[in-house]
Amino acid sequence: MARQTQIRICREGLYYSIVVLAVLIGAVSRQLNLLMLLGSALAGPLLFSFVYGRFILRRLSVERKLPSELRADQRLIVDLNVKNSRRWAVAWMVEVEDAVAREGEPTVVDGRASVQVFLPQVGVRETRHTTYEGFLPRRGRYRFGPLRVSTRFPLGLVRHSVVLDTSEMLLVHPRLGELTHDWARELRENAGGSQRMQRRGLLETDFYGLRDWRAGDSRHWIHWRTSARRGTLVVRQFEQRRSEDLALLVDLWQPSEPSEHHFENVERAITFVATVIAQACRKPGHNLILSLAAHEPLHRSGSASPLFFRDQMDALAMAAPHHETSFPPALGHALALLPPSTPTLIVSTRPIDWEALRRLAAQRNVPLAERLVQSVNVASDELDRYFRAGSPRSSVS
Amino acid sequence: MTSLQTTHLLRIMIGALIMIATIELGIGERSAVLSLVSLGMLGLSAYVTDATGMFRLRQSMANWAALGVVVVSAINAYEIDRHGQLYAVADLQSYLQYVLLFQPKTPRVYWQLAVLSLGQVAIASTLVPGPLFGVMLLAYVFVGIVTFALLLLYSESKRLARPATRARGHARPALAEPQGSGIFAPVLVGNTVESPVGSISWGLLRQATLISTLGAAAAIVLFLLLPRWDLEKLEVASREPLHSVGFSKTVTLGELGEVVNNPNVVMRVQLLQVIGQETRPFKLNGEPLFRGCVVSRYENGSWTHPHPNSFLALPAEASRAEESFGAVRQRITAEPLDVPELCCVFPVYTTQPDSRLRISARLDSLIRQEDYREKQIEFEIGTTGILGNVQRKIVPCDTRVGLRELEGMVQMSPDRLAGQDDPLGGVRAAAETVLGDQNIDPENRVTAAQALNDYLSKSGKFFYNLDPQTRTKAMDPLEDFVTTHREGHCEYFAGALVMLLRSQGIPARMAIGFKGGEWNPLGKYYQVQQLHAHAWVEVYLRAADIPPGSMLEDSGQYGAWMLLDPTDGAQERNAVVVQTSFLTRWRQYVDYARVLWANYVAGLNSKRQQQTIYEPLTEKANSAIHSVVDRDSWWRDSSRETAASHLAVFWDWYRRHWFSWRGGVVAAGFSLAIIVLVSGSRRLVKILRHYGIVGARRFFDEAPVLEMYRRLETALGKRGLRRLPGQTAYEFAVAAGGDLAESVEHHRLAPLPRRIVETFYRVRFGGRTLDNLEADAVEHALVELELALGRPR
Amino acid sequence: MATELQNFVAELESNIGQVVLGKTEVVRLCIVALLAGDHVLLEDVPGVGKTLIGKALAKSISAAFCRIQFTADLLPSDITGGSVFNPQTGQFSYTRGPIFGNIILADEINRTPPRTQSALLEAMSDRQVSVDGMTYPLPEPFMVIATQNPFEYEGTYPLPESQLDRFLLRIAVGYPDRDDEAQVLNSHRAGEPIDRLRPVLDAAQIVALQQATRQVTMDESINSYLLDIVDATRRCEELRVGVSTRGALCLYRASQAMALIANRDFVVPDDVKRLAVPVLSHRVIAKGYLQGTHRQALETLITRLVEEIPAPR
Repeated sequence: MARQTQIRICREGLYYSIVVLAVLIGAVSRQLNLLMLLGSALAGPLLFSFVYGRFILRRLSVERKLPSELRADQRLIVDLNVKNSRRWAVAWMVEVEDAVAREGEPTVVDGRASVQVFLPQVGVRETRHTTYEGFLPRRGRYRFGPLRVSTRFPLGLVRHSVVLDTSEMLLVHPRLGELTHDWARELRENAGGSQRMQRRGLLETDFYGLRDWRAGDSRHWIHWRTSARRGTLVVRQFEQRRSEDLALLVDLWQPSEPSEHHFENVERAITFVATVIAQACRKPGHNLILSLAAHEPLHRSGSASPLFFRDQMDALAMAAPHHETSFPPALGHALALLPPSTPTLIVSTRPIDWEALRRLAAQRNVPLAERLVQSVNVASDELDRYFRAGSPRSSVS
Repeated sequence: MTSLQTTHLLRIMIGALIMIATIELGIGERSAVLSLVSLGMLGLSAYVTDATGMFRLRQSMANWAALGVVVVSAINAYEIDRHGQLYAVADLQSYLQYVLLFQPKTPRVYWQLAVLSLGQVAIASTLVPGPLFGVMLLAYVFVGIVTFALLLLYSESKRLARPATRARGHARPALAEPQGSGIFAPVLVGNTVESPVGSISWGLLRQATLISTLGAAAAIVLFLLLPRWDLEKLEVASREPLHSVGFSKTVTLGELGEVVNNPNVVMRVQLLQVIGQETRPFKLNGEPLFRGCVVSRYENGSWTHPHPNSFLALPAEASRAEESFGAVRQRITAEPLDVPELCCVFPVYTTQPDSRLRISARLDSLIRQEDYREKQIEFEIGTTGILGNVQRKIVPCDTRVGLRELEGMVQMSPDRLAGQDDPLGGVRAAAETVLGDQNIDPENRVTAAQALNDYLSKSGKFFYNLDPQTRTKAMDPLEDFVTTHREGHCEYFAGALVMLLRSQGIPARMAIGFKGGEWNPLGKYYQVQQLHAHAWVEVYLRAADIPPGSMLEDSGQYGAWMLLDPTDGAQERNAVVVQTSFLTRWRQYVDYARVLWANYVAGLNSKRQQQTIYEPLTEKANSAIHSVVDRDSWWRDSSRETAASHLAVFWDWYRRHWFSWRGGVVAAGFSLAIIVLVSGSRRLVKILRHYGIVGARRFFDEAPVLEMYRRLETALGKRGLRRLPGQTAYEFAVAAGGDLAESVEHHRLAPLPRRIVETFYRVRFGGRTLDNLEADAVEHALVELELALGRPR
Repeated sequence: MATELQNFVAELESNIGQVVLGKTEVVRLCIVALLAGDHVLLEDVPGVGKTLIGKALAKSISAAFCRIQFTADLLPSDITGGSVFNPQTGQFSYTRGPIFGNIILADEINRTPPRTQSALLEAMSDRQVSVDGMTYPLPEPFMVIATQNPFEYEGTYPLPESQLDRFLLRIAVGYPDRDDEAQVLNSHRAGEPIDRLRPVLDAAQIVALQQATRQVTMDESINSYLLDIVDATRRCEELRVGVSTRGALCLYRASQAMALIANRDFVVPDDVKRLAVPVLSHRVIAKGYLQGTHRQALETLITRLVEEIPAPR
């Protein structure tokens, strides 16, 4: 742990030094021995202050424990363990200062903050636990540190501090909002649409179990091996898959000189997408596709699971908008790659250029009309039908 | 610790701080009024302002009140003298404190209170005498440190604490909702750690003790090193001189006065043996007699000096005695006294001119100049009256004793009319009887004087008694003492002996001064108090009378004085055996503390600083350097010799410029170089440790490694093979074996490390003990490895 | 420890070695699992001898050996067995499935849907089978050697991460080196060598060996070394999930078994270090980019972590 020590005289210390100096100068110039004694008696603790704090801090270590995961709307609680490995000297009045800075491009919002935690004492060979908390309301990668441990003990005249080079990163996931009933209904309609496709490929679904053959059952469903064993016809039952396969194509656009409004749109879009994925991942099994046209384009697909969710949150946490004015061709490409039956939702931070999309689709021989494509423009109020974003600080912890 | 409890403690401590300052002032002013008022105000404000909050002075009101107090004090101070003004300022500071006490307490108010009390201590420093000030100051600093530490705790926790709402068992800060796009800014709040109040206050007191001890140590060093220069007038504050009760120029018999148990200190005498350049304090074998003056004229029971003395400045000459034999110096600290005479062991000679002292023309009395009588003075003067560690009984006369003087010294009563009864007939008769009985010729002065002395001291007829005696009114007190009431104190004994001697034609005089004093084993000095006052006898010996061998050849040409103390034997018989009780010890400690205070605190001047601090320091450093230079032979290496001589020259120069600007700069540079050296070497050790070259830490940090494995690592280490921390012993052995196998000369050693580690594993992790065969095998393998790899490649 | 038992271990090893060429380490790890009384997952592309190893081990022990080929339509009851209606008696009777053996070779375990996988995994951890409310204990010793081909995605159901830690060890078999491969070709000239294998141990001896394994002592310092390693995986930045307590216990057991194989009744640091990768790498879950590329990256990571921990001496 790299350490950097600093000594700074506090305002009180300055005043105190002035008083001491005045007494000493007076005493020496007039050769008043008792006044010199007084001055020395005052200067002694001052000199001592210059040494002692450093002595204490040298054996003080701080360990920071960040939460393994954090969403922007969750309360952040950081554990600090301050350990004093001195054998006999108690560390008094230790102040631990931690700093947080959001990495990445500077935006309208200052992404930095610092916090102080005060420990009245850390005993001999003791590890004292303390916490600080708060919110990191904006998604992204945050750097914690460096930690600064300081003390003004004993007299508050001199502040000794040690900067501990203990940087840690924390990825803050986008906050989640709430999807409305309208969204659920839309989804059901979509699912109904995809159920049509289902009947064609039976084997794509999961086994549920076996039952005796009844008149009308398809011969395809007969499980021959069991039938042979039992001596009666047995058919396979399939799990009724309410397919909620979904493809999300996100156009995360922002003008190169964004206003606060644009900034909020991007955040809203991210929150919406994150919420949709979270919703989808609650019931595992179906396929999700996320294609993000952003500063660094992203294409992910997988079956919904907590792990998939976490990975998408990681990605969304870092997603930065792009500034291309034209409709991003990557989305058209992504659309072409989709299985034709997959319901698709295009989320954009600006009005969707259908013409461009159709053109892009046509280039790859995808008739857009046959696809289940819907769109949402975050900048308009059509999103409000589906989605309510929580307040950035509404604690969901 | 909740902040409420901290404030309680803080208030108590600041109150204590204020009280110490006012008590100190009270001691200085010799009045307890201020302290009592302050105590009352503290109590009142604690109740009215702090505890109940009934009355709180607002800032504006407080300012007006303070202004008023200042104005009133200024008007008062206008009319009084300088000393009184000092008191007035001190009082003003107290009044301002009272104003502050009734304000709501903030760290700022605490600071102001502390600063005001500091001002009072500064004033007290000019008023409080003696080491008491030091003790009070120590207490003040201690309380101050605790106060400031508490104040820090108070203000820091106040600064960092946020309004907390209780949730789920521990304090949880409430977060304010920001507005606008600020909602995306991170917000963090620290939680306060609570800790039990008991441990805090005790721990803090312990810590404060430590800090004040170390702080005091730093303060002492700083104080001793602060530059002094001679401002004689400021050296010692003048003081009301003590009224001398034990000693005066005239002695009237029967006026014993308050001598008996008066413990006031008259002076402190340190006897120093001069050995070469050094002086060493020593204790005399027997009690020293410090003479203040001599009286020779007796009249109606009172002794006086016959003729007025004229006084001369002390000649600046060292006596021959200094060279001829082990001379002794007396370092005397005389308290202010209302008589000019200074007591010391005679005869004296001067070692350096001293404008504060005068000596009588007959060289028999030392006095201090008018200006210094109200001051404590310290001086050093040589004496030939002490030889080895005993006071000589016969000392030479420094000047010729005049005839008139001699005459006076045999005169028993100055103006006795013819035909009148000899008032001292009984004395004469007694002397004749004594000498006649022993058949001693009065011309043989030494023997005769000794016999008469023995008569008083050893015959058992005379009793030493300090109580007032009944005397026959019609008789001369000495006649009465010798013939009738044979009880009395030293003056009777001495007076009687003088008269006994004079009746036989032997010139004698009475010496007045102090005998003995209390030996202080800590400071190695005699502390002389009023109760040590004493009188004894000096007998004049002609040159011919001087017993051979008692004098050095060339002295004694003017005759000599023989010192006789007739109370010696008599006193012993009555003497109470004084034991060193706890009380005596305590007294000695206190007195020594007082001496130290006077010498090294209140009266530390440039000379003493030079003598006792700078010089020993430089000498120590000098001798240390020299010893290093002389001891190590490599210094004598020719190339280094020049360096050493340069160093010596530099050191010599440096010593002479010890306290000058240049010296300071050089010292600073030197210290800087030392700091750089130390930190550099520390870093070097760290680097070495990092690369495993210095391995001392491992020894302490890790579990004990079996000897055999350590030897294996050492042996392989010589080949440059080192185990990585993550490597197990076996992996290392295999790797080392591979390395050995590749080398031409050692390939047969290749299996050895593995075999050793296998055995090591059995012992270390399997908990086995090796039988002899196995142990031998391992030993053999190790020795083989060590021999093969130990050779430098 | 009885020396004869030790001899059995050596014999077992050499016996398998006759057939499985150039895979000493893999064979040894399999024996570790056998002695620890636990299961093994062999992972690699088809045709490198996963099944061969399982078979050879099984054949070297005179115990009931079953091989289950996992397919897409395999049902849980195909493994555990099930109740069959007997028309004669008019009652259901329980028929034991292939799981009731001593050594089970579960081939291509990822080809079957999760339901069926679960049936196997449950039986593995509980050492018993529950069908229709009745519980049937599995025989002792009981060891599952599962194989899967991680590189095939089409029509597979990869075992979820959380299920992987039912296996004591996950071993990548790897291609044999050239000489060994030549020897393989050679040995197959005259027919399947596996058929010539004779059992060297019986079930009772295996149980005795398993008991002996538990007697192996571990020094305090090695214990803390082990815990250091486990702790390092939990603190590691690149891992989302570190090793569980069960993982630590597994490493402990495996180290004991390894010590026994090396004819020791105490564990040395090397045992722990050597087993860290096969025991731990499938018990951790990586963050972000490491995910997917999986096994090798994780094994490298674990290796690196172990190298950073000071070994006890």
